[in-house]
Amino acid sequence: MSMISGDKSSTEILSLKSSDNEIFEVKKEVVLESITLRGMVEEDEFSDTLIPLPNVEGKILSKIIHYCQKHTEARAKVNGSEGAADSKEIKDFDSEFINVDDKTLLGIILAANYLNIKDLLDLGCQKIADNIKEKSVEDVRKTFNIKNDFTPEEEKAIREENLWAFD
Amino acid sequence: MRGQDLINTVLPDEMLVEIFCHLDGLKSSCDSCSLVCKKWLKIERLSRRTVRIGASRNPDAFVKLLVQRFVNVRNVYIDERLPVSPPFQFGYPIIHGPPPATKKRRYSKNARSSLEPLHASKDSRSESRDLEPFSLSDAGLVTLADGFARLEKLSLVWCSNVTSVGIKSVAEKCKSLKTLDLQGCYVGDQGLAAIGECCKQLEDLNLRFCEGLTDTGLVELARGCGKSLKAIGIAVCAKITDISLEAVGSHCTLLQTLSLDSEFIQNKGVLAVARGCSSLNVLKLQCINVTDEALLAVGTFCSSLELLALYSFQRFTDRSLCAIGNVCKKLKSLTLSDCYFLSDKSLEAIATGCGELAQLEVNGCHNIGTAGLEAIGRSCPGLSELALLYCQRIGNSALFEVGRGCKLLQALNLVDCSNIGDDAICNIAQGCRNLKKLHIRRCYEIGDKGIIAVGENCKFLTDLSLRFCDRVGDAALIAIGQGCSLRYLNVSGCHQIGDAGLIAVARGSPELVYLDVSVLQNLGDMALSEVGEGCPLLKDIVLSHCRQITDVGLAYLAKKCTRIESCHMVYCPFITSAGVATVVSSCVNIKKVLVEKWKVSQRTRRRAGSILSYLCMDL
Repeated sequence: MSMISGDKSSTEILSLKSSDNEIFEVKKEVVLESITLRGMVEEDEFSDTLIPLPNVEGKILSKIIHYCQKHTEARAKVNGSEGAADSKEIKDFDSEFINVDDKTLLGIILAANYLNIKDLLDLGCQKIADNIKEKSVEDVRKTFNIKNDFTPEEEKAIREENLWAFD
Repeated sequence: MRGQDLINTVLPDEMLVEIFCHLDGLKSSCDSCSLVCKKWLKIERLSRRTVRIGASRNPDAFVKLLVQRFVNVRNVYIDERLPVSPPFQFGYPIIHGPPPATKKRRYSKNARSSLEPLHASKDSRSESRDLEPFSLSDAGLVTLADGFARLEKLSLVWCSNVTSVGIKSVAEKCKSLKTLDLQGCYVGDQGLAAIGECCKQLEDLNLRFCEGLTDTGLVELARGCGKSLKAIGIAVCAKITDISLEAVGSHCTLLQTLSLDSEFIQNKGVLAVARGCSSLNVLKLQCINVTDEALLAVGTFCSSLELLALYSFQRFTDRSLCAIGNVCKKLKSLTLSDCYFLSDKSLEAIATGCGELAQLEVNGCHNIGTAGLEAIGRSCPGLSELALLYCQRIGNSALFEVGRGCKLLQALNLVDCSNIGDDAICNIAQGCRNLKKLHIRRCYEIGDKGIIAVGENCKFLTDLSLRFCDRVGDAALIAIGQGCSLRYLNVSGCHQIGDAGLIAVARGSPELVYLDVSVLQNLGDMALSEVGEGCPLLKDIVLSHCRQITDVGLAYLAKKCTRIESCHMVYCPFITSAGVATVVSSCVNIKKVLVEKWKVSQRTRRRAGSILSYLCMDL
């Protein structure tokens, strides 16, 4: 793990507790990737204690921390410039990272939303959107186990409504 | 046991909105989502941001429907040249040709009606010359403005009934408007003036064929939105002159992009913009009456220029290009099309001065030869895209230098360059290993040898197009098949290519999405069945004029490549209605089939009438 010299925040370690009571020790700079946590930490309430995250289970929290660590490191490599997210390495990491089952994917999106980690939220939503894009209606329902609650007449009406424009 | 519906039970509504926004406004995906379940229907309607419509039978009523259904729309594109896919009772649509491009002089309101979409419907008698009533009116535009108050982008193409009245209401109600695109609309000056007064966030303005606009309107708009405007495009607006451009130069100090296509603009106007808009980044000129004087000014004042494109019959000489080369050090993209007076000196000056050049296109500039290109090859190491069209004077040694100096080259496009041959291509292949796209059309000196070198060296090649290169044969494609995994392949008219070559590509390119093998007399069913086996992701295929392929090969292909969306197969004597029927039934996503009308059975017509396009033999 690379140690970045400088101020206290780069070596300070914080503890995060998941909903299922798993505790994660994380460097402060990694925690700051989350705007929600940044707010909590900067108010100095939690600087010495445990930050409980009752909305996020351990399995998901572990993945989120991994994502934040990787992105923090990548950004440090290019000295904090905007280019970090564009590097091939990070792109490859992101696509491997988000290649998970639906349940985990939804967990990640919910957690990213709660923790306010924009890049991760975009990544997750894009992945679900990509899963939807190439599919027919029936396939989408099958993939996400959604029950069709339209009557055949209702469905026909919507299909006709949809005929209105060009793509 | 069926799994649990996670999305609807676990995700809050705003997350679903977020996901639908990532569908990139792809209508087919948005429509699919609206059919999944009631909750998705509601949310999809709320999340729709973009609406694109063509002509319709009652556009005003239609707009009312749209504003009720999609309340959060930000972007509206209305193009009345395009027919809406009609409901089944209207008969078969006849899709008319591509929109009129640059035939400006002959273009008038009368000429346009002959290009209107033809609907083979029962009411065709009343429709033929009387399509105006079916065009969006001012009332319709007012409804739109009322309903979509957060409108950001509005594009009206050939909405011939819209006037200043409609535009004024858009101006008054849609204060967040960022982009306004008017093409072929008879909007007057008051409309533009209203936009200038109300839409203080306008960034992008595009005016094409707006015969009703004069300088008055544009000057008022420049005065009003000058501070926010970043991009302006003016094409074929006969009453807009240098006066407008002088206003742009005075008020639009942050302007970054200017695109002009007009014979009424002269040096004075361009000079004014060059002097006033020092942040100018992109300049595109198709103005026959603009000469060196204007371009010299650009070369003096616009040091931020990154893209310069000069099109058709320009009178510019080496003097202005040398000035550009001296000052515009950030130039990244240069297009010179039909600039007859430019010689190698121009390219040499650009090469010397613009070391960051990444894109170069030389099209029909008869006085530019090998020396100019050699200079580019030597001095522009960042060159990533090169296009040489109708450059008969450019020889092999030009590409030797490019191959030696431009290691980052990703795209090469050669059309009708009769002096470029195999050795040049070999050099490019060996030097430019990052090549991703290679397009060659009618370069008769290029044959197997050059392409084999590409196959051996350019492992990242994904887009290959060799059209009417009659010396290219199977050996070339076999090398490509072994070395590159292609996504796009076009070998139309390379009649030496047969099954062996295609089979090799099919085996080596599992990600192939587009294939055009038209006019290949030696191609048979074997190749088609191998493509079926090897390329399951295929979306578009062109088989026209392949005289040996039959229903058998076509069936193999259609049954394996179920994602095919378009299939062109005219002039294939051994394809019959059975083959056509198989394509239509096996390819669930099929959107377009081009075939002879008499090869379509009644049953196929019933199943798929709206996606079939017919070869018009009577034209």
